[in-house]
Parts: sequence; structure tokens; C-alpha cells
Amino acid sequence: MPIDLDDMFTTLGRHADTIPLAPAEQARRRGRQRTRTRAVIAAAAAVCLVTAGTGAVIVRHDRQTAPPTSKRGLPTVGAPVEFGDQARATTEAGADGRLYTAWQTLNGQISMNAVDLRTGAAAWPARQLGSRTDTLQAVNALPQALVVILGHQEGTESGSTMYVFDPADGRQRWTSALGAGDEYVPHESGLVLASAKTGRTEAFDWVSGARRWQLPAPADRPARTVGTYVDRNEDFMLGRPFIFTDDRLVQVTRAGKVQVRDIATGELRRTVTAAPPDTDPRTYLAYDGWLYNDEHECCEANGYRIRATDLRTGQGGTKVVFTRGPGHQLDMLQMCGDLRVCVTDRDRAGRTTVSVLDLATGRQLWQATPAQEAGSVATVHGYTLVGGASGDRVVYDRDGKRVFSTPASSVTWLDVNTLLLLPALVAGPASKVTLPDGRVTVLGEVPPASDACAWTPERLACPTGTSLRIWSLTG
Amino acid sequence: MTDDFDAFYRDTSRRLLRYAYGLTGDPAEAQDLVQEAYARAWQRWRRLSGYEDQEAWLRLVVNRLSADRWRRLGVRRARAAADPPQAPAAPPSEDTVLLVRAMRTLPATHRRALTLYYLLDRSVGEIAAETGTSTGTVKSWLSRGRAGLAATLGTLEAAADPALETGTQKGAGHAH
Repeated sequence: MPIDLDDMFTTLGRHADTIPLAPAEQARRRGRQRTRTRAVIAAAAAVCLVTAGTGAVIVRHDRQTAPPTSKRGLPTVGAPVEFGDQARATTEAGADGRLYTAWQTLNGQISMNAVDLRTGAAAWPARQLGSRTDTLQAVNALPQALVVILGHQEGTESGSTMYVFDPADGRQRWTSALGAGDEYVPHESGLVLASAKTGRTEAFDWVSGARRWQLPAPADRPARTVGTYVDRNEDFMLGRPFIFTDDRLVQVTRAGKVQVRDIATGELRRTVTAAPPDTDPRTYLAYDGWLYNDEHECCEANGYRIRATDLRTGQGGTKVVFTRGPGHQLDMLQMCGDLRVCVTDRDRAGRTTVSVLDLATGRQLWQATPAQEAGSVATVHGYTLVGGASGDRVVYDRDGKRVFSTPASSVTWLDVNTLLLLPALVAGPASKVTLPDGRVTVLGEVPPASDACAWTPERLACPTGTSLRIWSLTG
Repeated sequence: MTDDFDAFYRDTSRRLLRYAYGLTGDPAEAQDLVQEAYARAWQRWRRLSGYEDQEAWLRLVVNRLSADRWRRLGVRRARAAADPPQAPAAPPSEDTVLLVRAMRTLPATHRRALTLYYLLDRSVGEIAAETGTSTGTVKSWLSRGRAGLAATLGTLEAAADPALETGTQKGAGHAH
């Protein structure tokens, strides 16, 4: 019997109308929280600037030059890794030359595998994990462990479970529940978890899952727990797995005490007094001996201040180093390398401004207004790539000089001094651009890319519905 | 300002949820996408409230969020952590499950066009305007989308919709 598509969509629409909606107040509250979480986005994910355009014309300085077109496909590596059905997948390239992928098929089954990126051969067979009612949330391919986070819903309670695997063979090592509002800091020495519910802070061994140290909930509970960035961490902007390497763990208490701890032992090194955190979530950036955070008097539209607190000694001071007036909202506060901090905000007209500050003094080094709705800033070895919802993606040099721009849909750092341009929505050429000369090399045709793709300087890997495909970027 | 936003939310959120559900086929994800889109709208409400078509802006946000969710899901957990969990939806009918599965096999452009056309009652011309493409392209997306659904659903008759043949008005069989 034939199926009537109109009827099916009508039924689907009716079902959509029964899905409960949260009140508007909840959306407004999330809007306020986004100021904080944007910095988390910047820290946790490689910056891949994707918008809904399909253009791939390259523009350098004020010249507009179209790259030579090529219909030659990128060479594939190995056979496609089949998911067994339509699936949604998330994938990450590890520093060990393997690609780790987890996917969830339409029947809810979640699986994962590891593939040698050089050959495309399976490093270990696919393994199933979780239950069919779980949702796949994230994959982190760290050198110490492969971490997969699954969400689950029990009645009205939602939560997550973190599964820790041995990247060598995919065997499960241990698991840990993650509650709402928990903060976790992955560090070379272990994983630090700060529980929002209990106020406890604990560190776990990557291999055994054994607790290495713990801090009971103090009367003045931590409001934020963050790892400390150092310049060499800017590699995470290249899409590589990120793990903290500096040994300082920073906790900001509700009363405004900033505690610097040894992340390997939990031992308190020093306490510095700063301003108490606002009731609204704010952005905290711990970067090489300094803690930067934003402050607001009242409303988002009333402007903001950036405070810098010196964590290098117990007598370190705290001061406001940067102020923006009414109408400006902070978007991001992040490290820019070379002991610089990038502050991104937007005004009421949607104009984005990127301000680059000297870490130790807070002095503004340069400022640029790149585009409307610019939402992503990624600095690699002095070059700052800025992009957003509309307009060109622009690259600035250390002095704030605009050295390259492109309207391409998807732009990311492929390697130091090299950008990767990918098509979005429809198939098209993948290109790479070297800086500072802006030389464009068309690599070949690829299917439309998404943020689910992973890449290394040699390989591009993307889920394509029912399988995972790997291409060579080096011919 | 808050009252204006809340009124806008009341008037439009149900339609945006339909759109998000059509794109994702996942009630929980649709709930989250809608919340996130309005959260972004609230952040720039002063400016957005002056837009002629605020709903189109919201749909654009939902498009982008749904397209790049997977890399950011880990972040979503943190972002949503402070929100109370949303109430679960009633189970879908068998037909809806089938259609959702079939929709997931389609390219995003086809899914978007079908969702606008069938769930939001948009004409081919309106879809063309919203997606910044020609009506011919939209017809192609709809036609290929229907063919894709037919292939997946198996028994669907891939009869062409009159609207796809003649222009921007929907066929008589379309449910309003």
C-alpha cells in the first residue's frame, strides 16, 4: 500500500506540536550563560569556521582571485569504514596517528573504532558501548586515554557518563558519572573533576581510575575550577586533542578567593584575593600565571570590564585592565599565544571587535573590527584567524595587520601557517593556503564538510552518512 | 524588552520547534536547538527586534547549530548543565519514526527544503528566498528529497507534486 507523504508529514508535525517547550525565561537565562560558555567552546574545540555559504573564492588583501578549479577528487585512503546503517558520528584524530570515531545508528546503537590514518586499516575492531537510549556526546582522543561521553535520561533526570578506554586496544578502563554543572580538567597527570552537587574536587588516574587526591567540600565552595593554559597549548587550535600540561589548577571560590593548587597533588600553593564572581556565569581564563575574567555591573548591554589577577605570588594584585562601554557584550576571552589575550565583543549593531591585550600588563596591543557576527578567533603562531556567521574570514598578523581574507565557507588551521578551506553544503574543492604569502593550492574535490570532520596535515576524515571516509591531503 | 521577547517567544517558538524537529528528527535535540536559538536571540534582542523577519534569523541559527552540533556536543553538556531538564516528549507514531529515519538519510539541503515546505507551509518561492537560491534549485531539492524518501520508505509513490512542476504554489494534497 502506498504511503502518503503529506499524511506522514502531517503526523510528524502533530508530534512536533506535542514536544514540551521550556519557558522563555529559560532561554533568556541560557543567553546570559553563553558569555561564559563561549570561552569553553574556544578552549575545548578546534576552531572551524563554517557558515551556510558555498563560495570558495579566495581573496587576499584587496585582491580577489579565484583559485584554479579542479574536479579531481582527493585520493582516498583505505576502504570506507562502514557504520552498518545511517549514523551520526563524531571523530577525532589522536596524536598517535589514529582516528577515533564513535557513531550512533538509527536504532540507537553506539559503537566506536580506531583506524590507522596512514593506511586506513582498522587498529582495533568496532566495539559497542552504552545502551540504545543513550546519546553520543563527545569523543576525546587524548594521549593518556580515549574518552567517550554518553548522555542519558532517566525519567526527568538527565546526566552523562564518561567512559575511559585504552587507546591501544579499545578496552574499557573505568567510568565516571558526570552531573549537571560539574567541571572537568584533563591534565597529563590525571583527570580533575569538580562536582557542582557535592562541592568536592577529585583527581583520577587515567589508567586505573584510582583517586589520586581529593578535596572535601569547603565552606567557601569553588564556583569555578579551571586548568592553566600556556603558550604551547595553542596547538589545540590546529584541531589536535587538547590536554592541559601546566601544573597549576585554579579554583575561584564564591567569596572571591583564587586558589592556585598543584594539579598533580591538589596541594594549595597560594591564595590570592580577587573580586567575588558575579552571580551570572562569567568567563575565567587562567593563562601562564594570570587569571583573566570579565565583570558586569548589571545588564549585558551595560558594557563590561576585564579583570587581571596576578597568580604568580601570594601578594599578586588584581586590577581592571580593559573596559568597554554600554552596548558592548563580551563574546570570548581566550589565549592568543605570545602571552597575549584576545577579547572579542560585539556592539548593538552586531559589529564585532577583537582586542588583543598584553597578558602581564593588560595593555591593548591592537584592535580590529573584522566582520558582523564574528564568532570565532583562533591564533596559531602569531596569526589570528577571525570568522563568524557572515562576512569574510580574516587573518591578522602579530601587529594586527590584515594579511589574508576569504569568503570560503569552512576555514580552519591545517597546520602552522597553513589554512584548510573546505566546501560546505555541497561538494567542492578543498584548498590549502599558506601564510603569509597567501598561496592557494587546490587539493581536489571532497563532499561537503561538516564540523564532524577531523584532519591532520596529511589526512582529512569525514563521516558521510553510512561510512567514514579518509582522504589524503598530500597526494 | 523582556516582555517583548517573551511575547515573541510565545508566538514563534512552536513553529521553530517544528522546524528543528523536521531537521533533526530528535525531540530532545529539537528542544535544545530551540532553546539555544532563542538564547542567542535574547543576547542581541535589541537589534534583532528591529529585523523584518526574525523567525528566518532563528531558523538560520537552527540550521547552523544542527549542522555543527557533533563537534560541540561536549560543550552543549556544559551549556545545558544549568538548565533544568526538559520534559520528555510523547513517543512518536510508527509513521513518524519511519519518516524521521528516511529524512535522516537525506542531504541537509533536501531535509531543510522538505521541512520548510511540509512543516512550515512555505512555498517554493519563499524557500528560494530564504535559502538564497533559485526556485529551480528548490524544486530540485524537493524533488530529489521526495525521491530519496521514496527510496527509503520503499512503498512511497514517487508521484511528482504539482507544485514542483508548475511553480511556487503547493499541490492540493498538501496538508495545511
